[in-house]
Order: sequence, then C-alpha cells, then structure tokens
Amino acid sequence: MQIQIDRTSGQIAMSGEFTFTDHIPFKQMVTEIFAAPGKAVVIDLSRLDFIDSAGLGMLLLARDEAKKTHRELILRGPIGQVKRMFTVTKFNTLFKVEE
Amino acid sequence: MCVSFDERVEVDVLVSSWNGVSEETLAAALAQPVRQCIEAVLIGSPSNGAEREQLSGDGLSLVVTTRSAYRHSIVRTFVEALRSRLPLTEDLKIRIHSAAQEALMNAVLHGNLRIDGALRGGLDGLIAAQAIIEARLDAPDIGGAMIRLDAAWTASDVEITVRDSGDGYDCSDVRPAAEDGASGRGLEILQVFSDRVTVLNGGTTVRLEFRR
Repeated sequence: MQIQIDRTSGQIAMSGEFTFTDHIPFKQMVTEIFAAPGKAVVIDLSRLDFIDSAGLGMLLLARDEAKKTHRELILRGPIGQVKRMFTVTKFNTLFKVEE
Repeated sequence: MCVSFDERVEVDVLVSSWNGVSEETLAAALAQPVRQCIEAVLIGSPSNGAEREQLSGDGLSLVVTTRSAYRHSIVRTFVEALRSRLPLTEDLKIRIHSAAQEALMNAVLHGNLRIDGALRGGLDGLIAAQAIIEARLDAPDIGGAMIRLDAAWTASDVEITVRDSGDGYDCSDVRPAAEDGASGRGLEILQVFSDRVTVLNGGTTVRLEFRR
C-alpha cells in the first residue's frame, strides 16, 4: 500500500493493496492526520485496487479515532473490488462514503 | 533470475522453485507450463508438506514459507497465474482473489503465527501485533513454516485450497463480527464470495469452491 498525505487539506490518498500486512503505515498515517487540526478527514480510495478484511478493520479503527477527536471521516471514490467489499460488509452504513 | 525448472517428474508434473525474492520472480516461477512451484528453502523438507505430489487433472500448486506469504502479494500473483491458464471473468477473479486472500490471512496470522485477533482491535494493538508478527517471522521454525495454495479446475468449477502448518482451531468457536467491530469479517467474506466453503483437517485447511 502507498499513502499520500496532504496535511493542509486533511486529505489522504491510498493506492495499491491494503491488507493485513499494512499495520504500521496505517497506524502512522492515522496518528499523523489526526494530530493536525481540521474538521473532516477524507481518504481517497479511487486508486486503491484491493482491500481485505484486515484493511476494512483498520478503516474502522480510523473512524473510532475520528470520533474521539470529534471529526468526520469520509471515504471517497471506492471502485472495483474495494467498492464490492464495502457492499458485502455493509460498510456504506458505517461510514460516510462518497462516490 | 533464480527460477529453475526440473525435468518432468512422475506423470505430467512440472515443478519449479521460487527464490522468495519478489512477486516478479514468483510470477516467472509460476509461468506455464509449471504445475507446482515450491519456495527454494522448502525443497527437501517433506515435514513441511512441500514434497512433490503427483497431480492429476488441471491444477496449480504453490508452497511458500510463512515469511514469504507475509512479505509478498502471494494470492494476487497466484490468481494472475491462474488467469493465464483458464479464462476468468472479472467477477470470478474478484471473488477468487478476495476469498483466497481471507483464507491466506487466516492461515498466516492465526494458523502459523498464532496471532490473537483481539490484539488488533485497537490502533495501539496494531503496533503490538506487528512486533509479535516480526519476532515470529524471524523464528526459523515459524517464519519457515509452510503455507500451501492449490488450485484445481474443470469446465464448470474452480477449487482453491489453502493449508497451513498450525494446530487448527475449533470451528464452533468462530463467531461473526459485530456490525462495527474491527475484526471477524473474514468468514463472512469467504462465504459471500465462494459458492462453498469447507474447513478440513481440524481447521488447518480451507477449501473454496467457485462455479465458473
């Protein structure tokens, strides 16, 4: 998985595969983005090719972190397998997901 | 390129070895007409289940260490190798990749590395889990333990089998995830994407069946 962080806008872009081997970069990304001020955090998933259940679980941990700091976490642009995983696991009901 | 091809062994089985370095070398080692690919460090380790087998029908087999299964996108490369052998619709490719990834993750994390799923239930737990994972991957008997993927197909079905070297688990202990829980969705994903899921050998083997 590759992560690009825009601290000024609170936007994150993830690409590649987000799986059970990505604990450390994800934790670092969440720590960094929620340390910066702002209201909403947007994770752009439009270049993410693949996600497994561990990746979904980590997104939920990020959502919990957002709640702690009274911020909104928005998932933007899931496509392909990622979008399908969101549908299968009813993720659209757990997050604000923007097409 | 550290890919070697042995002479034809037994009946119609072509075996290659993989050097464990990258997905590119794995893709090369899985290229047709190979029927079975074994990570080089496991060759000659029958106790690891890496022994050559006489295969019948259409199939592809991959035997790797836990360390390599963790470090590389094994399932993606394996599914691409399948695609070169049989036509897969985009729908079937997504279903096979997604379900096999869940089975592999279970085999690696819970089967061979024995990581407690609850450990990854919080952000700080991710760091703790990673430290344990790295320590166990470094242990020769754990990091070097076998993970095996097999695919077999007919005109109507594709079957994927994932095996680990762990002690298995009690299937009755598996509980579905809480709706917004951070873990426990693997079984649900296996069931949704596969046409049939069978747990065998006390939980060390999962067989996934897909209609083509």
